[in-house]
Amino acid sequence: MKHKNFAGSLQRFVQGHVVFMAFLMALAVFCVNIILNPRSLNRNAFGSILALTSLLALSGAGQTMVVITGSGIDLSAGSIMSLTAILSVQLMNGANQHIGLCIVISVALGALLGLCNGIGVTKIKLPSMIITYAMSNVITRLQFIVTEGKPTGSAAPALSAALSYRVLGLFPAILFYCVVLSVLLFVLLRHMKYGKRLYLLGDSHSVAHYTGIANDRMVLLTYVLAGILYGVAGLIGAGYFAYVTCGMLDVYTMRSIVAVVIGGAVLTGGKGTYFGTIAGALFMVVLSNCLAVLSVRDCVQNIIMGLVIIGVLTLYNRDKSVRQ
Amino acid sequence: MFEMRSIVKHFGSVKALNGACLSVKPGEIRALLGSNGSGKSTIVKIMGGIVRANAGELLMDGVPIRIESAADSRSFGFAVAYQELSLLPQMSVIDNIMLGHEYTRRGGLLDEKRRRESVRGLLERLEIKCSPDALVQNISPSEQSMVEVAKALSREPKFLLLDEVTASLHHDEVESLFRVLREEKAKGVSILIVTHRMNEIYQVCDSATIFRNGATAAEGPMSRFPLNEVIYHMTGTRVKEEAAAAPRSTAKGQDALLRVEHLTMKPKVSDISLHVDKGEIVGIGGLEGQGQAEYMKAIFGDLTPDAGEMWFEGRQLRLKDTSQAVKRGISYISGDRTKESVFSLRTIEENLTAGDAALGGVWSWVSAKKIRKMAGDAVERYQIKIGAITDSASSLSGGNQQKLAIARGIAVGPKLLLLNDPTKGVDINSRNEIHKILRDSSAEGMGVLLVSSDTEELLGICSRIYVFYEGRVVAELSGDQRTEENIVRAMIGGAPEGREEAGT
Ligand SMILES: Nc1ncnc2c1ncn2[C@@H]1O[C@H](COP(=O)(O)OP(=O)(O)OP(=O)(O)O)[C@@H](O)[C@H]1O
Ligand SMILES: [Mg+2]
Repeated sequence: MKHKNFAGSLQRFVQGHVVFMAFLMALAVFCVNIILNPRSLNRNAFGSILALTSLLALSGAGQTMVVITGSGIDLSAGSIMSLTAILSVQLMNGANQHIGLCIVISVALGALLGLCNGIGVTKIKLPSMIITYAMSNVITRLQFIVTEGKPTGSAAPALSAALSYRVLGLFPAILFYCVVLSVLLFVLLRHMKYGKRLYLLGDSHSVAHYTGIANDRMVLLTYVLAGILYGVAGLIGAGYFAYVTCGMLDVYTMRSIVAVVIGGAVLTGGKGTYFGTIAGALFMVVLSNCLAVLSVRDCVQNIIMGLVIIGVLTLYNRDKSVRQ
Repeated sequence: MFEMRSIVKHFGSVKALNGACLSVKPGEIRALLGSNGSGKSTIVKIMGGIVRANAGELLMDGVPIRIESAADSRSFGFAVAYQELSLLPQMSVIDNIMLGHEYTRRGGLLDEKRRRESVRGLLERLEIKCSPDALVQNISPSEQSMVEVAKALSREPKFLLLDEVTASLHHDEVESLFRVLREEKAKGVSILIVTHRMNEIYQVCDSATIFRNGATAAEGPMSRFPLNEVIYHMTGTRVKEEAAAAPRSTAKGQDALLRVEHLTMKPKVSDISLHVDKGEIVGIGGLEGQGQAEYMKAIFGDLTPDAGEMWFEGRQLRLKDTSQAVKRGISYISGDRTKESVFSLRTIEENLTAGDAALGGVWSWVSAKKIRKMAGDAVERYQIKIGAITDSASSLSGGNQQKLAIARGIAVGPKLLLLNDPTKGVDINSRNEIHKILRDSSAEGMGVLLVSSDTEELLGICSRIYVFYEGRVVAELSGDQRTEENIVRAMIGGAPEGREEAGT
C-alpha cells in the first residue's frame, strides 16, 4: 500500500551487512582524513593504523566470545592485559632469555583470572558487569602492589622486534599475529561444537538448556579462554610498546567493547563475529587517528567518538519484535 | 461486515499472501484454515495493523478503509490474540490485560479498584485459574494463551481474531473458551479463529475460509466442508482415506526402558510410578497443570525430585543436568517455543542441527557439509516451508518453527523421547506425518513418553495412556479402554469404566 521510506531501507541494508558497513565506514573516515590532511597518507601512518588495529582486535577476541554468550560484558579485559604486560616487562627486563616463561605466565595468569570471572558468573550467579568490574579493581591494585607503582624493565628486544618489524616497510608484524588469531577463532566459532553451542546458548539460555547444552560449563570455559586471550594480548602489547606503566592497557576494556558492538554483536548475546570485531577495531582506530591528525583536543575527541558511536548503533538497532 | 480482497504481502522473496480474500459477518464464528505457512497469521496481522499489505483492498460495510497501525485497527473495533502472544513476560497478568486502555481517575492516577474488578471478572468468565498478580512468565503456556484472549476481550471488540489460541489449551479450557465465544457471538461480535485442531471447528464454527499458499482456496458455510474436503482444499490433492492404524504396542515384553518409581515433587507431583518399554509410545493426559510437565522435566534432569527413583536401561538414573540426560540418550521436545524450543536469532539450519551440536566433545569438528545435508533432509522429511536455509528461525510461521524442534530432537536418534505438547500449531497433514515418523522410530526400539493437551493426539498414537489428576495417576488406559470418554472422565478425577486400579 505504501512504499518504505528511505531511512527504513537504509537501516534494513545496514542491519543486513553490519561487518561490511563497519569496513565501509572505516574507509570513509580514512578518505576524509586524507582529504583534510593529504600528508597523513604515508607509509608510517598507514603502518601504525594497522598495528593499533591489530592490537585492539587482539584484545577484542576474548570480549567477542564473552559478548556472544549473552552473559554480559567483560570489564576486566584491559586490566588483565595491563597485569600480564607489567609482569612480563619486569621479568624480561630488557633481555631475551625469559620470553618463554613470560608466555607461560601470561597464559596461566589469564586463565586463572578468567576462571575467577567465570566462577563468579556461573556459580555465584553475580551479574557479569559486577564480578568483572570487581576483578578489574583487584587486578589494578595488584599491579601497584607488584611494582610499587613504578614498573621497571622493558620488553625483550627479540619480542619487540618480532612485533614491530615492518614487512615491506608497511605491514607491521603484529598484523600477522592478528591474522593467525582470526583464523583460529574462525575455526573455533564456525567449525567446532564449542562455537555452535556458544551461539545457541547466547541466543537463549533456556532453549539451550532444554536442548541439552551445559550452559554453565560453556560460559565458564568462555571466560577462561577470554582470560587467556587477554593475557596474550597484554604480552603482545608489552612487546609492541616496549615500556609500560601501571594500568596502561586498561583503556582496552572500553575500546574492545565498542569494537565488538560496532562489529555487529548484540549485548544480549547470540550474535556477533570476530571479523566484525576486527572491522569495528579498524573503524575506531581510523577515527581516533583522524581526530588526532586534525589536532582536535582530547576532550572534544572523546565527545565526537561518543556521538559517532551513538549514531552507528542507532542505525544498527534492530526492529522491535511483534507487539501490540 | 468486513471484507478483504486480493491481499498481497511478501517478505523479501517469500510470498506470504498472494491474492487472498476473507470476509466476516456480524454474529458469525468463522474458521480460517490452511497448512503451516499458508499466510493465516500474516492476514491476521494485517487486520491487527502490525503488518502492512503490499496490495489489496479492505472494505468495512462496503466502504474502503485503511489500517496502517495498531491504533487504526483498534479504532475499527478489531482485537487480536496473536499466535506468538503479545504479552510482556515480566509484567503481571492484570497489567498485561489493562495495558493501553487503563481506567484512570482524575489526575491520571490508575483506578486500582476498577481495573482489578474488571480483570477479575474477565478471568472468572474465562475460568482462568491464575492470580491476576502472577507474572506472565511464571504461568503455564496454556494460561498465557487464555490471558492473551482475555486481553483481546477486555477491549470489547466488534471483531475478535484468535490466532491459534487453542493450540496449547486443554480440554476444559477449550470448553470455557468456546462458551465465551458463543456468548460473544450472540451479542453480535464477529469472530475469526485460526486453528489446526479439526474437531474444534465443527463444534463452534458457522463458516470457513481455507487458504492454500497465500490465496483463498475455498470459502463457505461449515456444512459444505467435511474433514476430507477441508484437507483437500488445504493441500490441493486428494489423499486416499487410510484408516489410521490403531496404535499397537510394538514393545517386546519385559524390556523396560524407563522405570520411574514413586516420584514425588511437592506440590505438583505426589508419588507417581510409571514405565515405558522399548518401542512403546506412552501418553500422559490430564487437564492443565496436573503435574505432567513437571514430571517430564524431572525425568529430563531439569527439576530435582524430592523423592523417588528412576531406572533407565536397567541402570539407575540420577541426573544433575539436562546435558547428562542427552548424553544418556534422552531427548526433550517442547511446544513452548519461546522458552524451550526455538533459537529465534539463529538460522533454520542451526536450529535443525542444535541437537547434534549439543552432543560430543566441545572441541570436536563440525563438518559444514554434513550439517547442510542433515538440515536439508529434515526440511524435506518434515515438509518445513522455508525461504532459505540460512534465514533466521523467526522468519518461519509458527507451525514450521515447531517442526524445527521436532526434527532436531528425533535427528540425534535418542533411546527415549520426551514430548511435551510437541505438535502445538502443526497442521493436520504434518502432524500425521510426524506421528508416522514416531511410530516408525518406536518400531525400531525408541521409547516415547508423550504429554499432550490434545486428547485426539493421545488416542492417535499411544498404546497406553496415564491420566494425571492433581499430581496423581487416576487411570492407566490401554487396549479397548482407550476411549475419549474414559480419558475425559479420568481427567476430572473420575475412574474409567471397566475400572482398573492405577499404578504399575
Ligand atoms: N517476518 C517475516 N519474515 C520473513 N518471512 C515471513 C515473515 N512472516 C511470515 N513469513 C513467511 O510467510 C509465510 C506465511 O506465514 P504465516 O505466519 O502467515 O503462516 P501461517 O499460515 O500462520 O502458518 P502456521 O499455521 O504455521 O502458523 C511463511 O512462509 C513465513 O515463512
Ligand atoms: Mg500462524
